[in-house]
Amino acid sequence: MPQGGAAQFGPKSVGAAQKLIGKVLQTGGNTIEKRTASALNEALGETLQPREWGRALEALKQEQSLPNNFHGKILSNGDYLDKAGNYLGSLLDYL
Amino acid sequence: MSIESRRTPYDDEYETCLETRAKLLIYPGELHPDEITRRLGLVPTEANVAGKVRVNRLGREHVVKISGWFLSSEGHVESKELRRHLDWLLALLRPARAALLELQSMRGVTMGIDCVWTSRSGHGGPTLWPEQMHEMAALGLECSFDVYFFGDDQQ
Repeated sequence: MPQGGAAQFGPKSVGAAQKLIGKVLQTGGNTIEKRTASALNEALGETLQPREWGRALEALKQEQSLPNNFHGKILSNGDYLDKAGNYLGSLLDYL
Repeated sequence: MSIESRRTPYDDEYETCLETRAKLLIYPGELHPDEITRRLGLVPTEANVAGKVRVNRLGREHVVKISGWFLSSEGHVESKELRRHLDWLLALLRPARAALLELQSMRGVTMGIDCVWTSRSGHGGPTLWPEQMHEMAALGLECSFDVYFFGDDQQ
């Protein structure tokens, strides 16, 4: 099952590239900031507007029953983590 | 009570809103989503079964972790007035009140209304009238807002 960065670099890969790509772009908020969308697009080769990334976040939250006051982190490889750093899913899976 | 006293009449153009929709989200626990369909007599706009693989438009696969039954106004209501979307949803749910309340009493079942509201340029403004609040209360449903702010240059 592809899981964000793991799908790109292989399971358990902790190479330098993954560390670079997996940096935190945004913590909290329902809105995908413009710079977050730009960084996601650049890292993932997409050309999506913040709204489209926002739709992906909405879909992830809906599928996983995350409440609207949920405070997660978005990584530059599209992974979405909870406050403790647990992997919840990849925004790429919800595009 | 007079509607004339209300400060914010319905406005389908709702200038501060870029898009909106209202959804009933039901997480049925151990029940299969088809059982929710049967009990409510309503067809969901989307349903997930835990353990099933979903494939998106990019061909990416992931396994659904929890089951879900969703009914959304998207594609059914063309308006930037959230109350229109809620009115559409609540009209469908009204006849299913008894079944909804019964589901709410079942262990492991959670549900609520989710209102997605995207601001056009950073302003707020979604409004509920007592009619929607009264109906949601009668149905035992919480109402939560999923609010997004994208500027004009980001559309």
